[in-house]
Amino acid sequence: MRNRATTPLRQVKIRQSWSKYNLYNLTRLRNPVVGNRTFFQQKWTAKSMARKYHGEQVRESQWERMFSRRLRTVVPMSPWKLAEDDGSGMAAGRGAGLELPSKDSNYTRETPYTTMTFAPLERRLDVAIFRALFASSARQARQFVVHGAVTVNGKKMRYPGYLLNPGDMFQVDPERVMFATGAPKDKFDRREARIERKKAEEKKEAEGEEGTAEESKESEPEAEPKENESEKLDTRKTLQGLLSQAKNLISKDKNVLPAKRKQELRGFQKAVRRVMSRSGASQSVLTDNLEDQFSELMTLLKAKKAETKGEKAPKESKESKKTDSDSPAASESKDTKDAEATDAAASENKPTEALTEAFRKAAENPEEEVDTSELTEEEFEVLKRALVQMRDNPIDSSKPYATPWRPRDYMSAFAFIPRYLEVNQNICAAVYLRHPVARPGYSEVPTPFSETVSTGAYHWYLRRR
Amino acid sequence: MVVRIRLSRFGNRHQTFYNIVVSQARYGSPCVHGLRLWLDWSSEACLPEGRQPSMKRNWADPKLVEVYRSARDSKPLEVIGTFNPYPQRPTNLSDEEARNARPYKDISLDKSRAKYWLGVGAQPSDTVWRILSLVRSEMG
Amino acid sequence: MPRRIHSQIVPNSLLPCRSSSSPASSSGIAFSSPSCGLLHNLSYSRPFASPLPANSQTSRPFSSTQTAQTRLRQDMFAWLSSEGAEFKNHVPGSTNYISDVKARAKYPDMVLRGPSRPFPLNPNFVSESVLSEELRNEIYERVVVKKQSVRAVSVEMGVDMRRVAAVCRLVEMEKRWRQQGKPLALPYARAVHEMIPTTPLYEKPSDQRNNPHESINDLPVHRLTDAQIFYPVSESRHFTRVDASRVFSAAPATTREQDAKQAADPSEIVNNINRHSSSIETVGKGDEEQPILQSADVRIPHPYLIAHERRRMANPQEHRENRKAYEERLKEVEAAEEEHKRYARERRERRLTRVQPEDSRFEFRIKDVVVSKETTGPDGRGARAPGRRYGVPSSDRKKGQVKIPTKVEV
Repeated sequence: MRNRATTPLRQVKIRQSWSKYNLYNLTRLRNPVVGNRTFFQQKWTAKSMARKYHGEQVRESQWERMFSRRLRTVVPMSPWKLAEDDGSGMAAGRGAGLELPSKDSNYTRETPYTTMTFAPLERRLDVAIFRALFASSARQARQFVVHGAVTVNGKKMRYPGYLLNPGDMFQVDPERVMFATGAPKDKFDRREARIERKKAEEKKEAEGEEGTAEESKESEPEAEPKENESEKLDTRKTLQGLLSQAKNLISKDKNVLPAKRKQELRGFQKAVRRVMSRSGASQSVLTDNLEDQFSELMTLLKAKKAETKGEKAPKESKESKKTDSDSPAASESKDTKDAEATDAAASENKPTEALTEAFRKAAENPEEEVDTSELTEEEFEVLKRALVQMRDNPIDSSKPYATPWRPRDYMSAFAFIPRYLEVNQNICAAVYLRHPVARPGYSEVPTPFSETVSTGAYHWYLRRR
Repeated sequence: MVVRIRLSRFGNRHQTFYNIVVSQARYGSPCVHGLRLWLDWSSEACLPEGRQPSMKRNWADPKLVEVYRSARDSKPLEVIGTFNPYPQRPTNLSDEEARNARPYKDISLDKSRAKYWLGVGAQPSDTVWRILSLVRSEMG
Repeated sequence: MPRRIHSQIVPNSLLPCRSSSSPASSSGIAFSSPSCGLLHNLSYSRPFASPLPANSQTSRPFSSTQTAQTRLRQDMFAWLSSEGAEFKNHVPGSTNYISDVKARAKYPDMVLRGPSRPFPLNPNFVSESVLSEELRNEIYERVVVKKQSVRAVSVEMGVDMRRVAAVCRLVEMEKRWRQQGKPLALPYARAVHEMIPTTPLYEKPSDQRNNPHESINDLPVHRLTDAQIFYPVSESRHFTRVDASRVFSAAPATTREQDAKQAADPSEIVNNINRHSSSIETVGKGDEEQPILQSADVRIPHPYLIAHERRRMANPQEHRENRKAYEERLKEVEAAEEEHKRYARERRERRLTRVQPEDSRFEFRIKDVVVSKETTGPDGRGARAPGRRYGVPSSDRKKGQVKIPTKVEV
């Protein structure tokens, strides 16, 4: 195996990769010229084009041994059609059938047999990993296998050339998948990570020198000012701030730069922490354990939710059809417990309206438009989603990819999963269901070349057999 | 002469695999009357066809002549089974079962042939004795 | 790459082409004399030209090497910043392949329908939808929690049986991971599901049946049917699929009684064959003996659906009865399958003795084998007899032999 696969621009070589060079080449790819060329030349060109994409990491002799002239095909049958007749119509008359061939697409379409030429290579473990979108190129998939990040049926498999059998489950370490498919770190991220590492090391050293007593002292003053600060803040106001931040997070504005996005996320995280410390959450929650944080906040939210629901219940009858300006007034009349509360409620409702507007534009959820009394529910939903997103996709400078995770550039142009694989992205596992097959009009082997190329390649390899 | 049931080694390094075979005893001391040795050997019918016994004098006891009749992995009289000494992990189990499952060793054996050879006086080696004792109840 | 480095001076005739390909670069230098043109050419010597070539003007102005690829790279980066910018980020809920982007540019407000093709030159490969998260969970729920059979779920959801089994396995594993608190790749999963088409879970079961995920009755093309056979038949003969399959496997034609039986109750015969695979006729003698090719009615994964359709065609009004008959048939098939599995397992167990000695860590599995003239063969090298063979060369280290594992047991 050559130790690298180049994607030069001068000669268009398509590779199994998601790189932008490859994408550009893919747009420039043209069918080879066949006029005034000998059959041998045509086959040679076709084979060399196809082999640059299909298993360029496999030696030619190895591939020649794998090649099979038998091409797997299936015909989708309809039970209804089988029940309708017993096939005697096809043999009736003079043997060509009494009727003209039906206009059904299955029968009129031809099966692209020769596009299945490279189907045996799709059995390879490294290619299957690439096809399951677990790696950004077949070479990278191969590296994952060699480095021991892949298991087949729960056992570590270190051979990229392992030929998967139908029913085999392969699994890649999720961290590696996130690294392979995620955007890379930029230099600011890397710098941040360096600083973080250094800090951690210093802290470790300090701990080693001074023991645990110092540590506890250190943590206490940090917590105290937070509480002091938070006591000044109003519950409602913080919640309001949280909500607006959550809205920003949820909105999928592509123009927002990743750096800015990160800032927002960080601010949101801080705010969440402040709220919890104010509500007298236990010390353990203040740690960076997001799981605990999340559950704590959820319980807090639930309590709040119940409260607001109680408030809203009588409100429903009155202001179901009222406009935006009326709602604070209505709520004022109802909430007469104390002045502070009404004020807060009014202020809470205002961002609510803004939020719904933004939400309507973003998600176009039909439920909101119908019932205005559900607004706070929706709001909580937004907050919850933001929290979930924060938990699932945190900022973590120790990761080898840019955090929060986002797909790498140009991934979407190559993202497809062929039917012979069943993939579960959550656990980065996939099952190789069966060998790829061709059916009328379709072929399951992903190949960027037209049928002229694959036919040429098929005949090239047929020649020696 | 003595017929033995024993193991003969196959497989590669670190992948041992045994055939359970019936064959002539590897060596013995047929020398009771030194002069009649050749007669004894030539009348030996139990050797695999085309095979000549080799002879080696035991210098510790000059009267004793060790006769090598068959090498460990040479062609035996009969192969009656196999033995894989590497324990295998049981597969297709649920979590609960997998925790309690014992690793297993694969043996294949033609019980009727084993019984026949024992009946005509074949002597199992120690290892084969242990293997046969596992199925003693069934062989009767 | 022979043309990588050119030290000779580029003739002026090349200049217009270059300058036209890079309008941004002409900002700094005025083209008054040929020497200026040369300078302009040399300015692209930096191997990694940035998308904005104007910046590269000052990097190494006096370098005398000229790289042949610069123009190509420049074109590429120009493309990436103009048309190619579409590909950089995905559009949630729709695919973003080359053909999609082209179509979107052409008809901006048209909603794309049907499968999309990731490779513009290959119309035969389409990006087919994957199961959505909800559909996956629903399948798991039905099979594992509600204990419905894989076959029934497959028909109801329009998902291949093998896929149903795989989904159960994967979801089971996901649940275990969640329970154990292992880190999952959730943002990745979300992004992928936004990028590729997915089959949703419909509210109504009828919708689910009318919009199946994939074809569940795929008939694999048998090797015997590859050949074209010229087979003369009299016009009066009722030549059906079953007859054709017999011709393909060179079996003698059926008798008239058999034909009559087939015509009277075609589903029953199919049922019988599926239940007792040993009842299939064979052709050939000795080692050549093989079962004759069966028609499509037998070989599709859900043959009982044909009987169901026949019944529906015969009595189109009796929906409830049809449904009931179908369920009965399904139950029958499931029971037969279960029975078949049980029988195979028992047969396996009968040949196997398990011994667990008290003083051993291991279990011994003793398989019964037969050593006889039939199994060892006349030369004693028959493959059916137990043990490694003598006198057969072992070619496991030869070139071309597979030396890596060929299977991994679950």
